[in-house]
Amino acid sequence: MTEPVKDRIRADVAVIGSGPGGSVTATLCAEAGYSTLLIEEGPDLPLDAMAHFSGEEILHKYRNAGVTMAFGHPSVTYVEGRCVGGGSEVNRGLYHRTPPHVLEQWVASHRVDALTPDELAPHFEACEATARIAAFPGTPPPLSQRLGDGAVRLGWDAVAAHRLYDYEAGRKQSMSATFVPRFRRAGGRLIADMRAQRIRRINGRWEVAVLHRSGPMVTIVADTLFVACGAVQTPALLRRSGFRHNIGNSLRFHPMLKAVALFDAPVNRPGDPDPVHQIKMFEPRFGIGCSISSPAMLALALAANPAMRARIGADADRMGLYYVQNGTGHGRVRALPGSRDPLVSVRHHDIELDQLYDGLKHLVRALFAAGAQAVQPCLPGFGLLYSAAELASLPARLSRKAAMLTSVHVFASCPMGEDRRLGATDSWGRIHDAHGLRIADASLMCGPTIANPQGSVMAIAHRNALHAIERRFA
Amino acid sequence: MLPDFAATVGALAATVAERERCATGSVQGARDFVLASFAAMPVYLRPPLRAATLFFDLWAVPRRGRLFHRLPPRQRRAQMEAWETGPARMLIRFYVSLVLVSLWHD
Repeated sequence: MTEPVKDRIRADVAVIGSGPGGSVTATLCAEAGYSTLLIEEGPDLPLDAMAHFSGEEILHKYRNAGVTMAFGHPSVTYVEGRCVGGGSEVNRGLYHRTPPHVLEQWVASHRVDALTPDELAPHFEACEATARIAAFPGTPPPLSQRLGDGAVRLGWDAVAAHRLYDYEAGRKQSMSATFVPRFRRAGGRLIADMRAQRIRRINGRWEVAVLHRSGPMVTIVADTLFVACGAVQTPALLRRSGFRHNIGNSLRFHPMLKAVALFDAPVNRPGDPDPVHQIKMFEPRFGIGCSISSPAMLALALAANPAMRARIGADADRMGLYYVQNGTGHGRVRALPGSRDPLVSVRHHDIELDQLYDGLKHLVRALFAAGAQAVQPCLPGFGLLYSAAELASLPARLSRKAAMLTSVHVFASCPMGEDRRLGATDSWGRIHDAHGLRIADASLMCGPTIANPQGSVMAIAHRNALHAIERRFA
Repeated sequence: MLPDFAATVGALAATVAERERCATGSVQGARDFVLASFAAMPVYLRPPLRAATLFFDLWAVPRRGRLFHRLPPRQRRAQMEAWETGPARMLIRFYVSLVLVSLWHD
């Protein structure tokens, strides 16, 4: 039943956005005894309300029904969750701790205090316990195993990634299934369907003008405010509210190129667990992994490749969808006057696109080593390949016109750090010169992780929330 | 003879469905999915996309004497496939992608 919403709500702590960063932050604040309000723009739907990766889920749980784009040459199509639990509800829940070399780089480039692997380890452990991070028990499904086998035959290392997953119950995990219930048990209040319009500071408190889906404007008044709307909406809200210093200038992605392999035997049976193998030894130049390979996802990836797409009906069980990703793309987020949706632009360096294309060729090699009979790079104008030797026939460089980049990770739009020339916040997520206004989401990251960033987002939110609570939000 | 956005989307869905013979989703479901996606997409993208779609519908009039959505299936497919490789290929790729998701999900 929908809770009636008053036109003015008072809380000690307000958190805008219920994704991994917001949920972790709100939970710790509520457990510390503060009256905590967590608001979410999207609906409050159970994790299993609809089939994962279905059209229905796209319409109900994705921002803009999945039609979101960073404009550039090439553009990057990206997706974000927009529901209670945010991106954790719609992703596969693949999990990695932030690689130590990435943390070292952030500390060096942005002068972030107390961000060594040892200092972050307890925060990872705390989040992993609640979020139910688990390794795949037994042998991963064949679609996944094939990538691992191909890597081994080439002398490469492959890993089976952990996931937010309850393998005993056979159920994916997410914020709505883990941290949000813990938040509610601690007395926290969550209101969905509330879109934050603007933030302002009045009489020593934060006021958030919020539009409820049912129509009325609501004012939230809080002593402490965390913004955790995600790496695109957080800078958009902050810029609308007049905060601009290094806000929205450094958005990053993990753009992907994809390829579909056709194997000699079934690898992709309905009901198989999601694949988990990844090849990480080439990071940060690029990383390789497996994608959801339902007929719909295969068809979408092959939208520009009709010959391979025509085989889905008969051969979907022998087909697997794989990706290569890296950190190409430097984006900007700008609020547009009169529009609820921000404009996102992106530019690419040639060297990063070259590395991504090189990664695609590595992926194709791994798939042939794994026994693929044919591999289709998911790019317009690219034909079906029947052997690794045919890689020599591909263009030497990826044309920017042909590059169809997609990303499921966005971050780093408001980076943290003591270097004010680069950082939007200090090392603990406090926006510079903004009376303790805090950010608690992927915006804080200082650059790409290449690894799945959800673990980093949760651990950094955990670290920053505890730091704030210990100092009573000073 | 006025161009019709929803009818053009429906005709595009039917044309893609005719090509994807093995997909089991319905044309009506695909049309509804595309229209729902359009309604949810960023506000600033909708007017140019709607204008381009209406232009696509009108494109057939001087050549075939009818709007795209009123053409017989064979002629609709010819126009769609010509646009798929032409300067406005992104428009058709957008629609084809959404229709494929719906047709194969069902």
